[in-house]
Amino acid sequence: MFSCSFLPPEVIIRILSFLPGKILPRLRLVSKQFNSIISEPFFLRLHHSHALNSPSILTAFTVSSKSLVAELKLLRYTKPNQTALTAFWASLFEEHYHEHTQKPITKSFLGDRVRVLSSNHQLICFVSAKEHFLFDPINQKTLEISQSPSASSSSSRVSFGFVPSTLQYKIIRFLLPYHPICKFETLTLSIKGRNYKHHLEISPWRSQETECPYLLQPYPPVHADGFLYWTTKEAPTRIVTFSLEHEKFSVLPPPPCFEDNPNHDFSLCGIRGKLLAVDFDALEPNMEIWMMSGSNGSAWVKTHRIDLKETLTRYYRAFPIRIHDIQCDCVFFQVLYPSRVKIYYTSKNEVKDFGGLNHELQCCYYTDGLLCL
Amino acid sequence: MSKKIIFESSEGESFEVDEAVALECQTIKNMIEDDCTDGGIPLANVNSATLTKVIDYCKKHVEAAAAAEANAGDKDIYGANKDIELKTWDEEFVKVDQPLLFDLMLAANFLIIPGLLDLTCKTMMRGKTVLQIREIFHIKKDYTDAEEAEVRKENAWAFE
Repeated sequence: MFSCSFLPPEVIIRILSFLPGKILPRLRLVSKQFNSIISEPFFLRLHHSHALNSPSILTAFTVSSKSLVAELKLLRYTKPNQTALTAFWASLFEEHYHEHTQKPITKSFLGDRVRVLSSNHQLICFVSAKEHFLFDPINQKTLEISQSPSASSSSSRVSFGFVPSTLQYKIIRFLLPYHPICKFETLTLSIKGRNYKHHLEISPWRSQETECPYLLQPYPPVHADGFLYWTTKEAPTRIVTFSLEHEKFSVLPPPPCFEDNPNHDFSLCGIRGKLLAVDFDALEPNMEIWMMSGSNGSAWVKTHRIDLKETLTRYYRAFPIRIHDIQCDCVFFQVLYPSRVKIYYTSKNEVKDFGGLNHELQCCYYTDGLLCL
Repeated sequence: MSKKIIFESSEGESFEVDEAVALECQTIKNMIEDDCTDGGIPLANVNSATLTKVIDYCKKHVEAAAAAEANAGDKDIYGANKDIELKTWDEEFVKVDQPLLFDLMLAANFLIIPGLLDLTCKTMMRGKTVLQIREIFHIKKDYTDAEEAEVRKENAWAFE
């Protein structure tokens, strides 16, 4: 019989940090030592860093609008390979579900425009004009968040993200216009360990303002790993970022493709915690995808160049595509107006059509975690 | 001809390995840099059976790293290594009984082999119940019945 009374505490911590978030609350029962390890903030960070290394889970929500009520349907896959993704997308068009996907959930909302926001952490946020909900996809629970004082004002943009260093989720409502002084309201949800469980401590909404250096595109910003990003309205296109932790704007060096060219349209996407820039050439037409690899825009890497001659049957001046997922072997996107779902296979350098979709599709990403709403 | 390093297990058995293989262990790497490996490295708390496995692991990972270098660029854009063959090998590698897995974990912790430590830690508690974990780790229940009820109540969702 072997004994492990001499097992160093750092090894116990390491063992626990690899376990799925759903199992850990049960292991609090093992002993007071296990319980206190699981409650520690540094343990949460370690667990999250391991969750980030395993492929984050992609979830797709299809939104169908009927008389001011949006219905969300959730599908998800975990294996990040081409076969799983292809099956995942095929299941959007079918009534039966593959092994990679899960039985869908549905949720109704007041207001017809619902946006699904990723945090690159466990929770997802649903935002409609009238309601905000947090969603915990692991335990399939929702939590309604109170509205901000200015919620009735229509000219605002809501964002959501997670700050790893402080273990806080933030919901931010920007009141337009952003430039030159940007007014915004924030609501902070801090993860706290209390006795035998983690819970979210929700602050009241705070109103603030800060300087914003450029006129920004009025679209909602994209979120990647604790930062929000916009492109500027005026040429040459720049990337402006907002740190969720420090609540300040700054400017990023753009990728080399962002040159002033009237036939190009530039857009950003945040996928699995990465910031990607898309350069759409309307004349060719084609798109190049660049990924920010260093911090603060110090390095950009071109990951894909996709020929769209066969894909786009008419001329679009502005980027007519929504990108849902990017892997090294494939890119999943949707052509808007008319809506078609497509997959680009890198190895074959071709785009496959998956068919038309008559409701709206939004994708987001989440990682494993220890919370339960 | 590459330089050889000699390990000595707790039973006093000698194991000769290439320096490149020994460098997988951060502890040994530091010793090599400090030039104090002449005459062999005694590992008083690692037995021969465990040491054989540890050396197998390091050899395999050195070979895999060399092979990956040869076809560089075969990484996905998120930096995830797509070496499925190595993953499968790792999974087979840790299909051992609990005491050996335990010894491997302690050896990985002592020699500082992050990959092996993570691998054994991940395997350690797969599918174990609270009672089994207490048994494996020789932990005595230190909650009162009232406290235990409180833990269950606070995390009722996890016990469903």
